Amino acid sequence: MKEVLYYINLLFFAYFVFINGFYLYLIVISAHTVRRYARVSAMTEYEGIFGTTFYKPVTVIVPAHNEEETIVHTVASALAVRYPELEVVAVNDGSTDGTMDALIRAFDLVPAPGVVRCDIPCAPIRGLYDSMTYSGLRVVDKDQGGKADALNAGINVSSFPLVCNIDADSIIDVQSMVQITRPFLEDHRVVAVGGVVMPANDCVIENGEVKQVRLARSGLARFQIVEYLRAFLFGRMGWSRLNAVMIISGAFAIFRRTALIEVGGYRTDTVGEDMELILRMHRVFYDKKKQYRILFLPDPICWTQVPEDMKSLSKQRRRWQRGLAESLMKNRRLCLNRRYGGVGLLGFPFFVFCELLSPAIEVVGYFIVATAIVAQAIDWQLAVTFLACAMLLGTIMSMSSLLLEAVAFRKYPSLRDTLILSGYAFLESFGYRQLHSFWRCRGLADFVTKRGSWGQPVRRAF
Amino acid sequence: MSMLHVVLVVIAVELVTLLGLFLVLVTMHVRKSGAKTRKFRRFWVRLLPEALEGRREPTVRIKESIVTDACFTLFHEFMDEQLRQLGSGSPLRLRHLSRRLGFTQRLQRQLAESRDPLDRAAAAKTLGRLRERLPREAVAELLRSEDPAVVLAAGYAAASFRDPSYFIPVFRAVYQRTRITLHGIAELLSRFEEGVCPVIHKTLENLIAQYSRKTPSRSFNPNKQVDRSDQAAQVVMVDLLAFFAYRPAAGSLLRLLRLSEHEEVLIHIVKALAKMGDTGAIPSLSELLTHPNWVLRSQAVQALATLGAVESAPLILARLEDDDLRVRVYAQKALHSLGEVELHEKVYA
Repeated sequence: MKEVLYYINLLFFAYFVFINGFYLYLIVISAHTVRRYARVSAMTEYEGIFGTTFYKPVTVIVPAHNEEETIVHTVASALAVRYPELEVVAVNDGSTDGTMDALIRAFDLVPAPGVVRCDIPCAPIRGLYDSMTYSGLRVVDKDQGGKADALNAGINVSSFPLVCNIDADSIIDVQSMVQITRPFLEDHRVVAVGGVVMPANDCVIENGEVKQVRLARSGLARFQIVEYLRAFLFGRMGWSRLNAVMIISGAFAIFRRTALIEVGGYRTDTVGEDMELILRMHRVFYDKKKQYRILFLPDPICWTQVPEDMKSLSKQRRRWQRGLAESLMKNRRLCLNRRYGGVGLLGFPFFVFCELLSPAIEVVGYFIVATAIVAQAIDWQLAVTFLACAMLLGTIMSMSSLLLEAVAFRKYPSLRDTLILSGYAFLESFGYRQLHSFWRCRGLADFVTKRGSWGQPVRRAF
Repeated sequence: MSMLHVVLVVIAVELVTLLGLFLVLVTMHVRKSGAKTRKFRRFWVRLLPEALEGRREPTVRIKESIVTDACFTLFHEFMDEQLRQLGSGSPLRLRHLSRRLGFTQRLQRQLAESRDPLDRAAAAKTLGRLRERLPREAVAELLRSEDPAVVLAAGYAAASFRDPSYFIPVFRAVYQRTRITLHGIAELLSRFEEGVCPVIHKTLENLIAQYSRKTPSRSFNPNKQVDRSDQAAQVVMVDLLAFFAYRPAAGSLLRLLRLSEHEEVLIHIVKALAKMGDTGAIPSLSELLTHPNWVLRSQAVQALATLGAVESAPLILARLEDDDLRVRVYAQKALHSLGEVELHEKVYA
C-alpha cells in the first residue's frame, strides 16, 4: 500500500514538473514577445489612419440580456471609441427587464426599415431601431436565444468587414480599437485578434470612458486582477507566439466578418462559445488548407466588471470550466492530430491535461498527499517543503505577469498599486487558488452531469 | 543528497528569482515614473516652447546630457511623442532644435552603427518624422531585412521623409517582404503625400505601354519574386491617385480602363475617376453599365451619379431592370441624386 502511494505521489510530482516547466517556458517566450511588441508598437503611427481612407471599418456588437444597469454605459463607450469609421450594433436578446427601454430612452431610438441578411441562422428578429442622435448606432430587438445567438444576429446585421464583440458589462479603452485593428492591415492572413480584458471595478468612468485607472477596493477583485494579467499576458501571449491561440475572450475580440460566416458563426449549444469558435476556426481553416493567423495583442484593453462576491465568482468560474470542457469536446478531432500543426499537437493536449484536468488533479493531489503522509508513505517534511515550492512557483508566475504588465501597457503606474498587487500575487496561493480549483472541479462535474446554465451575474452601474 | 534537500534548493532558487523579479519591477517603476523621469519631462515641457521659438538656447550641459544613453532614451520618447502630436504638421522647428542639441547626429549614429535592426529602424523612424535626409544605403539595408516589422518601420520612415525617389523601393519592399494588405500598403504609401503622384503616374504609363506592346517591360513589377498578383499593385497605385485626386492621371486611368482585363483593377479605376471628378470619363463609364460583372455595373452607376452625368440618365434608367437587385438599388439612388424630376417620376412609376 505504502509503495503504491509512493508511486502515485511520484506521478503527481512528474505532472507538477511538466505543467510548471511548460508554464515557465511560456513566461520566457511571452516576455520576449511582449518586449518586442512594445518596441515595435512604439514605432507604429496608429493615428495615421485618421488622415486617410485606407482602413477597415468596424462593427462593434454588444449582446445584452437583462443588462439594464450597464447597457447604456457600454453602448456609449463603444460609440466613444476613437476610430475613423465605426458602427455599433446593440442586440437585445429577449431581455425581460428594462434593457430595451433604457436603450430607447438614452439613444432616442426609432424603428428602422430594413432587411436583415441571414448569413448565420439566429432566433427571430422582432425589430431594428436606429438612433436619432447617433448615426452609427443600430439596435436589434430579438427573441431570446442566448449570447451566441445574439452575436450571430449582430453579425448578420453588421455592415462592415471587421466585427468586434464586447460584453454588455465591458468598456473598450478609447485607443484600443486603432491598435487591435492594425494586424488586419499589416497581415492579410489575420482572421481574428484578441485583446486584454482587465477588471474595471472602482475605476473612474465618465461618458463611457475610463478616465482614471484605480485599483479595486475589494480583495476578491484584486485577486482577479492578478489572475487576468497572468492568463492574458503570459498565457495567451505565449500561445500567440507559438501560433496556437486556443481562446480569445468573448469580452473583447475582433474578427474578419467573412471568416466568421465561413465557419458558421457562434455555436449556440455551449457556454464557452468564444473558445469553441476559435477552435473551430483552427479546424475549418486547417481542413481547407487556408493561410490564416489568430493573434493576441497585449495592449488593446477592454475593461470589464468582475464579480466581487463569492457566489457570482463561483458561478462564473464553474461556467468557464464547463465552457472549456464543452469546447474541447466539440473539437476533439484536433487532439494529437498532426494535421492541425501546433494547435493539434501542442495547444489542444496542453489544454486538456493542464487546463481542463488540472483542478481535478490538484484536488485529488491534496487528498493523496495527505493520505500518504498519514500512511507514512512519504516524509511529511518533504510534503510541506514541496507545497511551499509549488506556492512560490505560482507566485513567481504571477509576479512575472505584473512585470510584463509594466513593460506592455503600465495601466497601474503607481508604485503603491504595484506593491499591493505583488502582495496579492503572493497571497493567492493561500486559499484563493485552492478555492478556484474547487469551483473549477464543480464546473467539470457540471459538464459531466450536463447541469448548469448561464445564470445572471449581479451587475452594478459603472 | 536527499529529495528534501533538492526541494529546499529549488525553494532557495525560487526565493532568489522572486526577489529578483520584485526588484526589477520596482526599479522599472522608479525608472519609468520615478522622480528623475518626471523631472526630465517637466523640464522639457517647460523648455520646449522657448527653445522652439529661439527665445532660449539649450546650454552646453543640456546638449551633453542628451547624448548620454539614459537621457537619450528619455528624450527619444519625448520627441516621438511631440512628433506624434504634430501629426502631419511641419516639424521644421523640432528639426532645428534636434540638430542644435546633437540629437539628430546621435540618431544618425544609431542608424548607421547599431547592431539591432529594431534600434536602427526606430532611429530611421524618428529621423523620417523630423524630415531629415535618410542615408539611402541604410534605408535600403533595413528594407532588405527579413523581419517584416523592420521593413514596415523603414517604409514608414522613408515615407515620412516624403522623398518620391524612395517610393518605388519602399513599395517593392513592403509588397514583397511583408504580408501587408493592400489597404495597409496604400495607407503607408499615402504618407509620401501628393508629391509622389507623378512617380505613380509614370509607373502606370509604363504599365500601359507594356499592355500595348504585349512584351515584357523593364518597368516596376512588384510581382517578380512573390506570389502576389500584379493587379494588386495596380490597385494600390490607382487608389493612391484617387486619394490625392490627381487629375493629370485621369487620361492614363481611362486608357488602363480600356486595356486591363482585371475586374478588380477596373472597379478601382471607376472609383478613382469618380473621385477625381473628371467628366471626360463619362462615355467610358457609361459603356461599363452593361458589363457582365454586377459590381462593376453598380460602381459605374454610382460614379456616373457622382459626376452628375445627366446625359447618361437613360442608360442608368435601364439599370432599373437589371438582373441584380443591388444594381437596381444603386440605379435608384443614382437617379435620385441626379435630381431630375421626371427621372424621379419614372423611378416611382
